[in-house]
Amino acid sequence: MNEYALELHFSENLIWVFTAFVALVLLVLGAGILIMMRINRYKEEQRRQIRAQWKDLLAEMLMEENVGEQDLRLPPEFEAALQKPFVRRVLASELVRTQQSLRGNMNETITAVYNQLQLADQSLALLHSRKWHRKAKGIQQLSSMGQYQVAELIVDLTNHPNLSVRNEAQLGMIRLEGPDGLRFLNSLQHALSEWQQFNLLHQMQLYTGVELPDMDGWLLGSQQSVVVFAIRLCRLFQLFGYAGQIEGLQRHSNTAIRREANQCLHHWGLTELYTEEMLRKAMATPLAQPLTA
Amino acid sequence: MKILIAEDEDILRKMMELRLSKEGYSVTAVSNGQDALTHLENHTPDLVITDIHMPLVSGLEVVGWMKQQAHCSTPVIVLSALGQEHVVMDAFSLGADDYITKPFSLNELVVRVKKLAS
Repeated sequence: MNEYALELHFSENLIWVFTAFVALVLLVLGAGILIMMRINRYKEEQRRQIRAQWKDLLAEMLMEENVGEQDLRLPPEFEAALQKPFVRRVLASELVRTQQSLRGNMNETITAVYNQLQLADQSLALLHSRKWHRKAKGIQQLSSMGQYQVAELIVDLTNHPNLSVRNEAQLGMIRLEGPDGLRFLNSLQHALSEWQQFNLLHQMQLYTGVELPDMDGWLLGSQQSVVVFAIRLCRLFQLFGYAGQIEGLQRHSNTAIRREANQCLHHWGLTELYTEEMLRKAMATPLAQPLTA
Repeated sequence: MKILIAEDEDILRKMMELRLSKEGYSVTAVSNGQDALTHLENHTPDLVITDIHMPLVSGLEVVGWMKQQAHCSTPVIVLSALGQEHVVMDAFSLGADDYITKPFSLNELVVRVKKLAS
């Protein structure tokens, strides 16, 4: 009886200890979430204040003529604030955001102000961050602001394990080098997703009329997604000179490549739209012999 | 001529304000749809330029509200991001008069404003 009472007492204690432990964990977790929320709210308020303080000055600087040709003179209070990394981070983000909304000569003006405020070091610090979202942001800022000296750093990141970093790096290469930036395709280790291809093609639309690099290596390469992307590029840029290679790709062992090649040629009015069954049969058709429906 | 600008991007809003002021327009700029509605309750601008995506109250709601009120004849230009063509259609069905896709040039904005002003 005594033993049973002892055991019961021990079990009760155990339940109490466990309940107290769970309550403590929940309390710590709750406190942590509250503190994080407070910090985030504080930071957002700081950002809002910085934006409000700087918007007039930056807008006036951007509207001035001959920006970048003369030395930048900031009022002393702004000069002091500019030394703070958080302020520099907010300013870099804001300038990039403004640049994304404007086009024409204003883009060069924004880049000139970004350079005059020497914000590239802040963006570079983001690029070297271990956090993927900061890294992606750093790439976006540096490439949007035409910081060509970091192209080799960015091209390495086109094979980063994180998809968002890879995506931003690939877009960044095009922003920096135009169609030549597609050189990252030569050493691509991860397949290009449909979303990445959409973004890249969208970015490439800015360069219609510009000569593209030689496509043979990509069209005849072993990376399936690169071949599909190259076909889509040929279609977008109306590169009829590659029709022969694309005709051959209708016989490719990969279904997606066969389909894309056929759709491209059909778009150009060079062939009919084949069913998958017909395309599968076409794989056995010799190259010299044209495909028939 | 009085123009109301509703745009949540601070620098862009200020630049639009400066550019249009330089053209001789009297410009009021607000940073969200709620402030735009508050302004419209007490003032009657000759033209409204509103971004579609804004905090608190969207540009679409501003257009919709305007066209049901005494401002139904005030021309509205909506600003939209690239790829939001479907939202622009919504804006037109609510009564918007013109739209500009971001990225845009400030010169383009001035031309559109002058066209609607005339």
